[in-house]
Amino acid sequence: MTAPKIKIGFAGTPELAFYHYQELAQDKEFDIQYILTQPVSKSGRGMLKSNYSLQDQSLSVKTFTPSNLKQKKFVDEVMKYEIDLLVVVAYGQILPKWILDYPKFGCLNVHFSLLPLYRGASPIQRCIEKGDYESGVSFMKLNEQMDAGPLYFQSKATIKDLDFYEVEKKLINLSLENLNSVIKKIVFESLKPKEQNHALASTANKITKEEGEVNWKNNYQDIHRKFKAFKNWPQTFFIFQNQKIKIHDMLIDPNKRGHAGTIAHVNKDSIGVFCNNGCILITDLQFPGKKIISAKDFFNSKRDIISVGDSLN
Amino acid sequence: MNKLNILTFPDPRLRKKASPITVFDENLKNFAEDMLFTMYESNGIGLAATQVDFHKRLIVIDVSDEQNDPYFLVNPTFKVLDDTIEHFKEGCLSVPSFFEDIYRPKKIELTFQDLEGKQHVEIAEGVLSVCVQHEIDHLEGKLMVDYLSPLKRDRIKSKLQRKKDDSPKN
Ligand SMILES: [Zn+2]
Repeated sequence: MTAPKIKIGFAGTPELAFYHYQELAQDKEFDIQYILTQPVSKSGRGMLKSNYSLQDQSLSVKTFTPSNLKQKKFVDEVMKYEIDLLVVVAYGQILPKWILDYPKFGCLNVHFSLLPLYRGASPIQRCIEKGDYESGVSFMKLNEQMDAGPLYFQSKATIKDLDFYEVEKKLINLSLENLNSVIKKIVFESLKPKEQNHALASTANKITKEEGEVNWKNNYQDIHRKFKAFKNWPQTFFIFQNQKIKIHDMLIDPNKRGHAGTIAHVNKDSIGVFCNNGCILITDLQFPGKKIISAKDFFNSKRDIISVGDSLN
Repeated sequence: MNKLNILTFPDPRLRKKASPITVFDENLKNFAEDMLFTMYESNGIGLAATQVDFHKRLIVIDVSDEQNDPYFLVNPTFKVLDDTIEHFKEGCLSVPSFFEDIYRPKKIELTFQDLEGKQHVEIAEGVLSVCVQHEIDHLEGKLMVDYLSPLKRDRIKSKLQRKKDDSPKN
């Protein structure tokens, strides 16, 4: 007799990939053959802040950190590992065709949106920014087009009023709940992926730093959504007297109207700034190189810097 | 140690009924060691003599995670202690790369002789129980595919035959 073991390769880099790795590793039906991960120094923004590591030598699994996925030595080495499936979670590099083709069931990728919506680098942020009521996770078979592979399974989640961290957490949990069973269905039950409806596709372009700057001419709804969407990076900020001031928390007042970009009030509860159709109430903020302060702290120590009637544009 | 050739479904030799072992000699021990080696090399957790075309009642099993706790079962029999039916995804070295849910009674009392001929009685549950039942089936000429629908069985059969035709002869 043989016990059912699915041979898996894992490709992933940031913390959320590590959670997926752990979920796979604790399942006795899986046999993880190797990990593909980006070298620590090359992993991008926000990836070094926590103390996890897929490069950790204590993981008793062979780890590859190739910089060139087409290098012959690497290709030969990986090909020695026969696997059923390569699970790809936020690996951070485009996989060449030979990797897509070589596992028996191809490559399984988790994407944090309801595909075909939000294909691209920042699906969670773009979805919050747009004010969507729901999001979800999509398990797809990777092909050569970005996030356009056929779908094995999708699961939805309500994300109304949630910020980036809350949505990310919700979607990671949703993904972890379904990951192992999707893999078993693919390998044991020959689950076949279904083509996406490409006509409905939308993209979620990578966020730029500049997008974090508040445009006071926007509606309060847009400003508040961007604030929630960009909470991890690049965060929300405005420039005042050549200083980049970060907004760490805000409320909104739709009933207070005034000229966009003008300071409406400065009091112990908030700093009010008019936007197109209401007023943004800044309750927590941060000056460059300083710690985060509340509106009350600001009122007590710095209120002479910004006064009612000042313009932030 | 030799790696033995494992018969693959639908080879008719897998349908032979094995006869009891009466001689406990060096040959038996050597053959059992070869079977164990073959099983480890093939990443199996159990192997019946029938599968290597030796039609005597001999089984090797190792269900430990580290694969360092082998059992040699000579003339094994079992009786059901708990007839709660449980399912387990079983694979078989004679039905390579297929895993199917097979339903079997949960808990058994296993009686067997070791390679010296000494008799033992053990209670088995979980994977060990599943594996013992699977291997004793082999000695009776029975395969896990016999528990499946004819349709599924035929599909597996044709897939394995195709694979065999594709592979180079040696
Ligand atoms: Zn078997």
